[in-house]
Amino acid sequence: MLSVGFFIVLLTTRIFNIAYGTMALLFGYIMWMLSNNTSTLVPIAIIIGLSLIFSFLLLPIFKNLPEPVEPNSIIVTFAILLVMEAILTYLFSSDWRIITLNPNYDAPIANNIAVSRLNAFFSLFSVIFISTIYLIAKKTRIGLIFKACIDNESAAKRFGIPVDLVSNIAFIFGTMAMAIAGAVYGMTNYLYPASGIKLTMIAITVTIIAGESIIGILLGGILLGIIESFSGYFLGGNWQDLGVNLLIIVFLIAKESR
Amino acid sequence: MKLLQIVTKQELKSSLIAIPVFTLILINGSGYLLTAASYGFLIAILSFGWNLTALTGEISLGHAGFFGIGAYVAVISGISGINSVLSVFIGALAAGVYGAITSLSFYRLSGVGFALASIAFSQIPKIVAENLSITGAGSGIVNIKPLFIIKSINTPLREYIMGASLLIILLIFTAFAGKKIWLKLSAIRQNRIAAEALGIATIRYKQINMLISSFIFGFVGALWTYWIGYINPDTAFDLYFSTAPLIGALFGGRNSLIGPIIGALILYLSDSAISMIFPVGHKAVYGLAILVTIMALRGGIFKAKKAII
Repeated sequence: MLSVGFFIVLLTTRIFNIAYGTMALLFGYIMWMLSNNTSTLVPIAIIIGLSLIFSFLLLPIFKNLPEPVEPNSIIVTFAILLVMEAILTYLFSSDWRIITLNPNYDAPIANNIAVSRLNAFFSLFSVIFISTIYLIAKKTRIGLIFKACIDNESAAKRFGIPVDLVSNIAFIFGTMAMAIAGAVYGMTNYLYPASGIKLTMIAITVTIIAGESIIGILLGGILLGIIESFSGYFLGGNWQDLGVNLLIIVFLIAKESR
Repeated sequence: MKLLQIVTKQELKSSLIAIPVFTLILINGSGYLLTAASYGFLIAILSFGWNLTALTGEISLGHAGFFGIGAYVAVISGISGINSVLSVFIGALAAGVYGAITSLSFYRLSGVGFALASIAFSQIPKIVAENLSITGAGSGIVNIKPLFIIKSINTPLREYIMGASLLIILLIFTAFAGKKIWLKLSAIRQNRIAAEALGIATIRYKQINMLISSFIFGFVGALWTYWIGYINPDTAFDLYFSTAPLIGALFGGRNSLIGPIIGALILYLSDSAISMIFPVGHKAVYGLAILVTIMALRGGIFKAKKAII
């Protein structure tokens, strides 16, 4: 979900969002605040609702970036990262937080399966979300419109496609995916303000590996997981991030050499 | 006259205001004010160094890696018995070598690719520092002796080192002012392919710039660690040392020589003032400064239609 959101926004808006992980983390913290809620639907509805508001707040900034958009988007999102990290530190301190789930939702979905009900719910939601995006992209006319905007923006405009509207919708979907990913991350990992950059690196790595396909994202995610596990197993847990960083470098160089 | 070819009149006017102000602070200041001015000089040198890479059109987000390498190598050299002044240069050299390796590895990359690779490359020395016993692992190294111990003179000498370093670096670079190299760098930045067609060795210039830039970062990193007296991976490789120079350069104008220095000094002092009110969230000031610079003052403060200063 994390990489899908990053990928959608990058493809349709050319925005390389360095603050992506920190934005996801914000929703992890919101999930942490909502974790004592008695209903499953309430947290997810709030997360989706807030992600919509969040995307409407960000759109005016991202839509008015001066050319060249890609390098400027890196600098601006870096700025947003700093501001958000400071706000998160101010609101939640630098302490590590872990979500303690309501016992009802923390209960495993079945005997001998260590997956909580809420986690299973979010995971299922993620699978449905990604599958829907995939089907829309591959099987519908809307997917073709999106592809036209990505391939040649000016030509798409000349054919009467509302390019701005399409990229706005893509941005909102990307932000929604990020919010859900952040909430799921918050339920299984420790939260602290500086950990956002790690999430960004995961999204970037998977996107670089994926090339330009949603299936590639799934495969990239799996490859990343394998490399993390292997570097952790052979070199020790503290060296896990080394594998991720080397993977980014190797893929970037290989991609540029083609 | 040569200096005027790369420094605008507005920049010179601002320098004429800023330099006496900082000199007065250093002469008469004490305590927090003096320390803030010295840190301002530190960030100004880093902004200048970062801008050398930006002059070829590349945006690096990983210069903190060079800063950290310089700091660690200097301290480890110092602990192993090498003269502490010499160890500063060894640290700087190590950072320069790593910069050269970075540049050699990523010579094909530009724009977003280069920016991302620079972040990833800067994380590697941090991970290494977090895991080796010689670097003190995650806890780092404490009780580092200061660079100069002058007990007989009651002068905070360390506070002046940064100012002196900035002055020396500026003098060295103004010696090259007006030379063809600046035109070549400008050509590479504006249109790399056209520059190559004109016979400019773009890759070589990028590599040399990166080497000098990383050397400066390593040098400042080494001075910094002797200044504060301790080092650990989180502080030495702090993202702040990548972002603060970047913001200073953007704020002052990244296509000029003096602009980044003035931009960094103004921003750092503002940040220091705000950190007294909001000790936790003062880094947000830097973030907001970038946002304003990119969205409103697109060429930095000196290029803005209505100059701030």
